[in-house]
Amino acid sequence: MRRSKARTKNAVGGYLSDVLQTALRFLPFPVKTGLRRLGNPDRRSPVFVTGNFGLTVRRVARVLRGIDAYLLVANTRGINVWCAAAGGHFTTDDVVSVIKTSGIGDLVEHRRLILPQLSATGVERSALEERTGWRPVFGPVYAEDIPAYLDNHYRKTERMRTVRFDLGQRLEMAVMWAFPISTIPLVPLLVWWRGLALPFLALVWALALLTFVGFPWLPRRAVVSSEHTLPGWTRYLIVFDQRSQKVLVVWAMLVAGLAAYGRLAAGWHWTAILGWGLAGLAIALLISLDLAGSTPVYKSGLHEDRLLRVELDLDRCEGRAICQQVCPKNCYEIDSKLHKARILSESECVQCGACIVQCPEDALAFVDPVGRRIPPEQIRKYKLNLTGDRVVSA
Amino acid sequence: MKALESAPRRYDLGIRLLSFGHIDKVHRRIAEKFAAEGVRVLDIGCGTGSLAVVLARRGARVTGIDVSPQMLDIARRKVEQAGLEQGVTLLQMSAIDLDERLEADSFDLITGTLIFSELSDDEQHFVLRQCHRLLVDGGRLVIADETVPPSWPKRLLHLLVRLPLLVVTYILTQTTTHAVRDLESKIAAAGFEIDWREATLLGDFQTVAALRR
Repeated sequence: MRRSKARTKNAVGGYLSDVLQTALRFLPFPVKTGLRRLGNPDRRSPVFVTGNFGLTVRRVARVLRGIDAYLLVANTRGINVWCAAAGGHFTTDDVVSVIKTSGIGDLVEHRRLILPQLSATGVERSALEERTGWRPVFGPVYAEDIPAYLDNHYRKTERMRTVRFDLGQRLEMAVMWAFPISTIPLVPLLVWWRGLALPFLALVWALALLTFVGFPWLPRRAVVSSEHTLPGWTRYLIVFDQRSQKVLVVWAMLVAGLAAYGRLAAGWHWTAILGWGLAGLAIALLISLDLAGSTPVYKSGLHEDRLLRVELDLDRCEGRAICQQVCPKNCYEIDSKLHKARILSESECVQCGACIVQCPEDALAFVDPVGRRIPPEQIRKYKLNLTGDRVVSA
Repeated sequence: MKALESAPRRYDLGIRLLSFGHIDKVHRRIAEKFAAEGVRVLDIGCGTGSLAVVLARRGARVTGIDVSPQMLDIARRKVEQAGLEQGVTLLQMSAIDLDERLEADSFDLITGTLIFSELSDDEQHFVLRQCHRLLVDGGRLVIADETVPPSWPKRLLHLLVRLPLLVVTYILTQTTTHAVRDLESKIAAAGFEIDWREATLLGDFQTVAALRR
C-alpha cells in the first residue's frame, strides 16, 4: 500500500518534471548517471544505454515498463542523446565509463549493448568493442520502438531507423519556443502594462502552435535550401527570403484575426492593431529564425556556407550496411549482390556524420563546397560546437 | 567549461576571467606546498598544462593526462616554451582508463584541478579509488574544484553572485559545470586522510589535500 503510494508520488513528480523540462528543453537537465534496474532483470536481460537528460531517462523507463532490463545512464552532461553525441558530450569514453563504474559486466552473462541510434555520431562502435569487449549495436531512433525492436529479434525496420517530426514532436517544439519567448517579457508586462500580458501570451502561443502544427503543410521550399541564397545576414530573415514567405501567411492570418477582433469586438484604434501586428511579426520571425534547424528532419539553414556532402569510396566499401543502420534519414541502400552501398538521396542528408564515424572501411567522408575532403579521423576526433565548427574534441 | 574547452586557445584567458585570477593562485599554492625536486606527479585533467608547468619548475617530474588532444597541443607548446620537456610527459587519455594505462604505486603526488566538476558521481568515486591505487603509501592527493557551499545561506548568496555569470554561460554554451558535492567525505571514503584544506569565503571553491592511508 505504502509502496504504491510512493510510486504514485514519484510518477506525479516525474510528470511535473516532464512539463518543466519540455518547456525549457533548450537547457540541460542532468539526472543521476549509472545503472538502473527496470523490472526484475536477470543474467540474460538486455542492457540499454542512454544519456542523462532527465526527460529522456524517464521516457525510456516508461516505454520499457513491463520489460526486464538494465539501463545504463551515461554522463552526457544533462543533454539529450543526439545533441550530446554531435557536440562531443556523448562519446566512446562516456560509455566506457558507465560500463566500468556500474559493474554491469558482473550482472549479465552476455555482452550485447544496445545504444540509441542517434548516439552513432558520437560513440564509436569498433573502438568501444575493442576497449570493453562489449558488442555494441545501435537500436531504434525512438525509445518507443524498443519493445517492437526486441520482438523483432533486434532487427530494425526502416521506420525504426528514421527520424520523424510527427504532431507530438511538433507540439513539443512549439512549446519549447513559446514558453521562453512568452515568459521572459511577462515580468515587465505584469509590472507596467498588466492589460497587455494576456493578449501577448495568446499571440506568442498562437503563432508558435500555428507554425509548428502547420509545418507539414508549409511548402518544402520554405525550409530546404535552394540555389537561391540571399546576401549577408538578410538570408537569416525569413521575411526577405522568397522561398519562405509562405510562413508569413501564418502571420497574415493572425493579423487579419486581430483586426477583425479589434475593430468588431473590442473597438480598438487602428494604432493598436498595427502595434500588435508588428509585435506578431517580430515573434513570427523569432520563432522561424531557424525553422529547418528546429526540426530533426532538415539540416539547419544557418550554416549554408558550409554545406557538406557525403562522398562514398566504392573501392573501399564492402557493403556491411553499418551506414544504413545508423543513418537517421534512410539515405543508404545496399546492393547485396555486389556488396556495395549506394547513397539514395543526397538532399535528405542532415550532415550528422554518423555513417562516416561508424564505417569500418573508412569508405565515407565529408566534402565541403570548395571540394576539400574532411576525412573520417577528423570527424571522429572533432565534434561540432554551437557555431557549427568542428573544434570540440570528443 | 565546455565552451572554453571547445576553443582551447581562449581557455586560459576564459578560466582566468571567470575565476577572477583565482586559478593561478591555486596552482601556485599547490606547487609551493607540495612540489619538490624529484617528486613524481600525476596531473589528472591537465588541460592546457598550467599546473604541470608550475610543478615542473620546482623540479617535479609531471605526467599530465587529458582527454582532449587540442588541450594537449596547447599544453605541449607551453611546456616547450618553458623549456621543461624533460620534466613533463603528456598523455591523451580519459580518467576512466587510469586502471589500465598506469602502474600501481607509481606516484608521490596526484593533482586534479577543475576536473571533478566534469565527472559524474560514479566517475569521481572511480577516480578516487584509482588515485589510491596509483599513489605510494603516504603519497598525497590534492583536489581543487568548484564546490557546493556547505550551508544554505551561503548557497543562496553564491547563487546570487553566480547567477548572472551562469546565465551568460548558459546562453553561450547551453551547458555549465556541476559544482562538486561532499568533496571531503568522498575523498575520505576512498581511504585518504585529509590534512589540509582551503576554501573561498562562500565555500564555492575548495582545495583539499589528503594523505594516502
